[in-house]
Amino acid sequence: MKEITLSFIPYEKFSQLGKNKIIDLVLDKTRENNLVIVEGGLKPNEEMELIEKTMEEVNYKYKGIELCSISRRQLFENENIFDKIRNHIISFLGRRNGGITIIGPAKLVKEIKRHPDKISLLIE
Amino acid sequence: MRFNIFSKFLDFLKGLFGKEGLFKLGIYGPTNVGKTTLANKISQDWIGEDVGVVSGIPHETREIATKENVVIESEEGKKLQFNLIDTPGIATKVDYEDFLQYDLDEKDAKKRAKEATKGIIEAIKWLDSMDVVLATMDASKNPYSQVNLTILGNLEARGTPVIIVANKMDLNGANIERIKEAFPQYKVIGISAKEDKNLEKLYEKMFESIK
Repeated sequence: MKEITLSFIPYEKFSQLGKNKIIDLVLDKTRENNLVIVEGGLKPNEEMELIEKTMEEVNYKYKGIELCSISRRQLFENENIFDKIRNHIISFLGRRNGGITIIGPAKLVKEIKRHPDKISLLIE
Repeated sequence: MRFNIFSKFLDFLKGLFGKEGLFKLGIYGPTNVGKTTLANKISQDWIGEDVGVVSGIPHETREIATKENVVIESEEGKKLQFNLIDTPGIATKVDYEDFLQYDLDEKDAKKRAKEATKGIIEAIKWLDSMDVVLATMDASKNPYSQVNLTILGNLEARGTPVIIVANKMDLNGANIERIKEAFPQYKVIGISAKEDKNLEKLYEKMFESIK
């Protein structure tokens, strides 16, 4: 039997630590074989930086990551018009819009699949 | 003498802004979607040369490859002149053991994996300097991959013009509608670079998108 540890990085950590430290923290956690959930979700440029930093770390033991970002819109398809307007404004201002990003070590997570109403992880 | 100094200054400016100001057309996408096959097709069509080597082994392209001064011409005589940049496929993981099934020994597989990670870093670093991108996808696969979304998200944030190239339309299960549905805000063109199908439509889209 295999134990899986889930690490949760709350939204507030971004303002406390800043983007670079969050990315380093995510990498550290995946190296420790943790599944990581980032509240608020990573922005595309942060995902790209995470991929870049991951590639700097890849060796024959550490194979990299699987990641999946889901926006709030995907999580809550039925949000009302006021939520939609608010989220568009938030998005326009370049802020996080309340989605999540799931990151797992490639050694543990073979695939993360997104479905209309759920996310499934293929774990080894 | 004065002309010589002016000429040197002009060369310096050209060095700063790229070869005579030509824009960079980058081919980006995940691994094994046919980026190099597409780059070769474009390059062969207009300058008669290949850009890189194609194979069925993932991460065959592990370095940026450039063809300078590619000129394509429309039926009306309009011209597009650019530097064509073929990039290594972007991936979130690289496992040397995946290469062992392609008859590589362990040493070569590890070497290939190391080069692949460097190639991915290089491709990411070059993304900022691209003027136009052909975001290439395998039309027979699920378009909602995180790599596709991350590439498009970054290009959107930078305001870089994008054409989505749904490649491998010759394969069973290829479905351009799935890609159009996933990314309705983009121009999507279905082609088969390998079978030389619909490339003329891609060139038309390039003329429409790049002013």
